[in-house]
Amino acid sequence: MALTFSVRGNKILRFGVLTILAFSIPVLIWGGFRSGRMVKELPILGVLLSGPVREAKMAGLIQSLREMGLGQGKDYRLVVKYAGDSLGGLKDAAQELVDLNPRVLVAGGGVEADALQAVTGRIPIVFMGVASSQQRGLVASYRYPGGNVTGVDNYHTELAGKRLEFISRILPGVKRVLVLYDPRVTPGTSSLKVMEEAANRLGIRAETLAVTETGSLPGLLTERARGRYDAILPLSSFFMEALGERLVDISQQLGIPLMGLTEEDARMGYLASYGVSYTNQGRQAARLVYKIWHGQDPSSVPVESPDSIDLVINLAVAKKLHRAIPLQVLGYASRVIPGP
Amino acid sequence: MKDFVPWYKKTRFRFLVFSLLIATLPLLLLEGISWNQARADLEKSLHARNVALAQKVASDTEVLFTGVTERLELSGSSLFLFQPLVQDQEFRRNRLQPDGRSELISPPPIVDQPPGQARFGPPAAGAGNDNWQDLLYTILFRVPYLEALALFDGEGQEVAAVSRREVKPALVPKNFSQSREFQLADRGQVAYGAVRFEEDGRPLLDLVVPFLSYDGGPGLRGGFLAKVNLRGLWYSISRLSPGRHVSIYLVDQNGTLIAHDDFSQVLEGREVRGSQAVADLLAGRVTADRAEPKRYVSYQGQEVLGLSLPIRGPGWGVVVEEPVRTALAPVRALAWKFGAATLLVLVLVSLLAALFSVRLTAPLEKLFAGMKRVAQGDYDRSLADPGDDEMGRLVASFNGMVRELRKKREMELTLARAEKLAALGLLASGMAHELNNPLATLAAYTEDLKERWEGQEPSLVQRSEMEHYFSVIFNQVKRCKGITRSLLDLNHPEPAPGESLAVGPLLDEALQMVWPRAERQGVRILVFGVAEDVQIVADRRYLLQVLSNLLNNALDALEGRPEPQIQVEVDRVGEGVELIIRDNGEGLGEEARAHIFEPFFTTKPPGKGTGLGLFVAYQLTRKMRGEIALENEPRGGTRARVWFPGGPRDVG
Repeated sequence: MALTFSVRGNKILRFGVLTILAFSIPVLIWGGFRSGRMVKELPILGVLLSGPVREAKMAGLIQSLREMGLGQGKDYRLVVKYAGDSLGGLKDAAQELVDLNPRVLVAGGGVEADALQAVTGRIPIVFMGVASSQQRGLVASYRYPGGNVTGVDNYHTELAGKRLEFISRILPGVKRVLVLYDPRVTPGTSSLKVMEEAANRLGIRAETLAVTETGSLPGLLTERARGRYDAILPLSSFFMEALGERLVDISQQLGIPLMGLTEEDARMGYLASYGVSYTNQGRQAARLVYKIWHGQDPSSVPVESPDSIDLVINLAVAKKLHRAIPLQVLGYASRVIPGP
Repeated sequence: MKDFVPWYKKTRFRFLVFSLLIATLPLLLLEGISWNQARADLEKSLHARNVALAQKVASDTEVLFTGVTERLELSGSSLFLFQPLVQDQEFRRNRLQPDGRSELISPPPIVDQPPGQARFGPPAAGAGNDNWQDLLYTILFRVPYLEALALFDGEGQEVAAVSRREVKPALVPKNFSQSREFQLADRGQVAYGAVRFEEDGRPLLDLVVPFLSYDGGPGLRGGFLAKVNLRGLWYSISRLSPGRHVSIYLVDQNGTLIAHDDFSQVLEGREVRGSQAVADLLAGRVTADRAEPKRYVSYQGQEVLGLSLPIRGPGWGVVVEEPVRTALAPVRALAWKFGAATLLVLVLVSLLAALFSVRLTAPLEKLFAGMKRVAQGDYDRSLADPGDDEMGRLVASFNGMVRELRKKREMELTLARAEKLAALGLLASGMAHELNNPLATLAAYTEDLKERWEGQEPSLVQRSEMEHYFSVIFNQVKRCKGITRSLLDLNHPEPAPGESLAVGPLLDEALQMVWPRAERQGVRILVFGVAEDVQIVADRRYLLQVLSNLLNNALDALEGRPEPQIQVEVDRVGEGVELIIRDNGEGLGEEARAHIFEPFFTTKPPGKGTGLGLFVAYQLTRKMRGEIALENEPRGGTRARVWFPGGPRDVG
């Protein structure tokens, strides 16, 4: 009897063990899979910025990505590298970002895109506002970028003439304009050509000044501009962006209004700006990042031109410079920054 | 009893299969019904969602164009009201001074038109054109999606034009008055041009909005030629896509792809007219109120769930397509889950069924093994008690049966031992009795011979006397030898396994053995019914011994009888063969019938028979699984009946 009980007990024990295994193994596998997923690292979104001045682009990018359902810390880990407003620092920062093997790289502008393209031909790169992206060789064409780079062309080159036109509308009777450009970068020279054509059509005399270093700029401008020009118009370049505040100081010292490229310029102290804001460049680039993040090949994602081009007028600067603004222009300006 | 049972005939296998069927068939049935319902519901909801998507896109597109058109119409009406002002010499451009004051500057004369016949006249140079541009810029920057805007007069000539990107653009073509758009505008209709793509990929559409005479007069007063940037609309369409696999695209009146959530397809100029939804649109088979979802192969070669809707206004169509493979992925996932659940149930049921089948059939297996042991004569072991259920009761009954059989066998053994002892006693007493007579005779004769030898009786040496003595002694010794030989016959080894023997030749051989004696006694032997094919299963040597003994017994019974006769007859009885030997002797008395097969029982005169012939015949017949009987014939005489199992040709 004892033997019989023992045999039956073993069978029940064996059955119990088998049943527990039958249930627990799938649960353990599933649990392991879940926990594996939980501890899995988030893919990286790498952003390269030449300096803090382009942080507004990144803010627009992150905000728009969040609106589209890609959340920082939830869907991706954001890694931002700054180059300290130095071209030399860009290469190292770009290499550091590429070494992290991010899923998508985002360039704050043209110089950042150049630096990233130089160190990787594999990881997709999206630029947040670059002037003359095709001419500078970032993409083969706007429609078919062809490589691992695409993004938003901010149209700064093409809008150079339009800025000249709006100067003449904001400041009726303007005759002479000093155009500042950086001859070392493609947009500088490309914009110059557009500017010259527009000046001819508008009957405005535009004189150019190449700017490549900051030390002699105040003296140079003071000497060239005082009493001779009705407005100063800096063309698109990384160097001009970095010079922004210094140009504002000079503008106010000389009493000559500045015409900028972005809303951020107008807010900094330019009389007006015409172009796409940094924030909107970042927001528009987010659409492309979103597509590529979800698997689209950057070579087949067309480069986009800006959707929103805004005319922004700073009335505080107008008052400071004792300039009258036509009400009709104020009527259609996208934004008017009120005076004090 | 067959020991080997194929696995598929085993009870535990059948129980396992039965359990699996009981457990899985209802589950599979329910899963099948649920899966089918889920698939139908999913397709229905997907269709509903795709219809809603298409309606949303169509609605957004219509709202966009309606909004732009209405704003331009409103602006146009305002321009009519504004035109007398711009003609007024007192009109001044208004300038905001830094101190907040406004200043009027420069008169803006544009055209001179008769009152009530106002048309936008030819462009005026200088400040007047600037005024129109200011007005157009106001509209351009206030109406979304406008990329450029031109004002044309009733003759189709450009009055003024502005653009977000170009400086002083010329938007209205020279021969605009010949265009389809102008003709439509002249009839008071809003005209939509073809969608074209700029170098940077912007989709632009020319929208012509006419201004008719506000005072009821005939003819076109002028209108707007607006270049509408559709990328915002395209982007909002791509945002509507619920997933990467759902395609939403727009086609124009000719079925040309103009928007797609994957814009690269538009730039590549993909041909989409191969999709049935597009073909339905072009054929006018769908209306704005009725979207008919269909399943077909799309222009991309995938089987899709698709539908299309026309868009009022531009006359385009919206198409929503979703690959069946991805659309029904949840149903496939459900099928996998059902499969996994079924598998799990199968595993669990298999385990349970295996456990219970083992538990249920183990007593049967034990019972079977116990029966085999019992069949082999092992009554010493009982089965373990499996419990108090039916099977337990069956095992208990079996154990009880085994106990009864064991008792019976013990009793039989006891009885057999007693019978053996009795038989031994009978045999011993018979032997003693039978041997005693010849031995007594031998003793008497040898005593007498000794006395006479010691007395040197002369007659002893006479040859006849000595011969008599030796003859008696020899006969008595011979008789003793006959007794012992008969006893030895009983100790023959077990007969060989029965062989099939033809009865005829055997009977002939047995008759030849007794034939000389029968002839001496004058006995007539008659044989009946011996067919050549009659066969029995027996040991040849034993059978000859049995027949010989029976025939000799009949001859003994016929000694001194008138007209002695023996009849031998062979009959098939049941599954065997019966040999009958009849004699016409005196027959058996009452006592003889009772003891006829006992050893040393004889009805013959003393010294004539050993009483072992029929005893030996009986023992050998039983050893060969036969039957033997001796009985009286109704008309006198004795009948010996011996039955043996039949050979192959005699069975059945």
